[in-house]
Amino acid sequence: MPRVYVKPYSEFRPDEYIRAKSKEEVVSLLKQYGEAARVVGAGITIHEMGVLGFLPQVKKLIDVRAVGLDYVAVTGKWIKVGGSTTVGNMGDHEIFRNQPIYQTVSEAADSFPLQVANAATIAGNICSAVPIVSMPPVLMTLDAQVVLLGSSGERILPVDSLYEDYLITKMKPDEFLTEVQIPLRDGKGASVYVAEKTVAADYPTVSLSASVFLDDGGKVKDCRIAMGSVGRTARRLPEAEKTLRGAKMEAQSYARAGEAAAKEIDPSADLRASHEYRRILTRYLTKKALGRVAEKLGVK
Amino acid sequence: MNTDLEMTVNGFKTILKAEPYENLRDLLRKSGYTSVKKGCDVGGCGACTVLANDKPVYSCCVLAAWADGKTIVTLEGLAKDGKLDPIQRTFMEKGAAQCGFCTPGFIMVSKYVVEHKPNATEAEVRKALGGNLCRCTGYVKIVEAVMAAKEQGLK
Ligand code: FES
Ligand code: FES
Repeated sequence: MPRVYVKPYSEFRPDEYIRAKSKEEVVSLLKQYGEAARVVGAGITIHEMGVLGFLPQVKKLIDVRAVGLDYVAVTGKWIKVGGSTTVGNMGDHEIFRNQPIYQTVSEAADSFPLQVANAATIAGNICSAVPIVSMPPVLMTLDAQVVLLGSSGERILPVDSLYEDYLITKMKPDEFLTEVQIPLRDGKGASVYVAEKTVAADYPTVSLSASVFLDDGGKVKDCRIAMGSVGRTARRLPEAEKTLRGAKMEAQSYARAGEAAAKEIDPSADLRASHEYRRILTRYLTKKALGRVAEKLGVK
Repeated sequence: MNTDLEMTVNGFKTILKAEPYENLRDLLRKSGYTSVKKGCDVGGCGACTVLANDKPVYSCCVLAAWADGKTIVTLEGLAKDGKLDPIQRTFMEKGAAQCGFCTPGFIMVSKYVVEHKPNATEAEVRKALGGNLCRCTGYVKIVEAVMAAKEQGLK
């Protein structure tokens, strides 16, 4: 963990709030102002990071609400979610609510305080690169990818490889997130989101999302486990996933995955929990999540 | 540089001036809506909750400019013609306030729950109120007040 210096509130002083009218305008503004510009949705993370003194360089806020990115669409092979969609609206969409394969999204959205879910956008949750927010691990377990639009055109990055380091993404200064794409899958699968919090209004102390697909024999064909608050970025847990592939969904497998998970993470200590407690929570949440996935899959 | 923001606050169309970095709570407070409390600054307490287009949000977390074009309701906007809103009344009847600092925030979320989730169970009410902190009451009476408003079919 780097030392975080809390600087005085006065450092966050953007001098202009610009309402962009088109995606092209957003890109050209970002190109013009570079590091001095930030894209805002509701401004939740921007405001909080500003208050904490992280954004003294930001002078221009670019509002992207009018560029038409508020939608959830199920088309062909993808569930497409516009960047300005609120976490609450995303979680309320029936595909996330009702289909076990994608349910981790609704469960995570429900874990936000109402007052945040109603304003926070999915793009903000992803692009802030804060390792303690809930949506990036959720999207990682669904193999989601993001569409980034910049001055050299569009490119696509899996959420899984979007993060460089604490608060840093691989996005270029002139790029912004327009869409999240989640591949449609069939088969016998289910996903869950679990988290431990100090109080409901807080960020999770540790959060975990898991998705599991079974083969015809009832063994794990494919799985994803990803976590927040256990390292410098949200991350997948490949070792824990490895222990689970080919295994039966039963208590021993969950315990083995939990052990592997607790080993491969590199949690920091902060006011919410110590390193050791985060490892304990990781073991516990892995077991809990896999148990709940098994329930959804009807495994006895 | 000031930006003009057009919003409807408690039924009145107004134009408010805000700095680009200002949050909605500070704008509302300086415009006279002091029921919107400042408890923290970062979405940790719920004391600043207002309804934006009918949905509760932390006004401290969102930039003032986010509310441009929206309909905002604060606690001041609930009583009509000198008559308290039913949810305000049940808060009184059940003794759901002690120091009262958290109360405006709680009432705004409760208003949303009563109107939009009339069939919510007690557990669901508790979950919906999860984003608000109260250091005095222990929450029991607050939950009772919301349940009472719901049961009496009050809106
Ligand atoms: S003042 Fe807004 S949540 Fe505390
Ligand atoms: S009544 Fe005092 S904080 Fe709730």
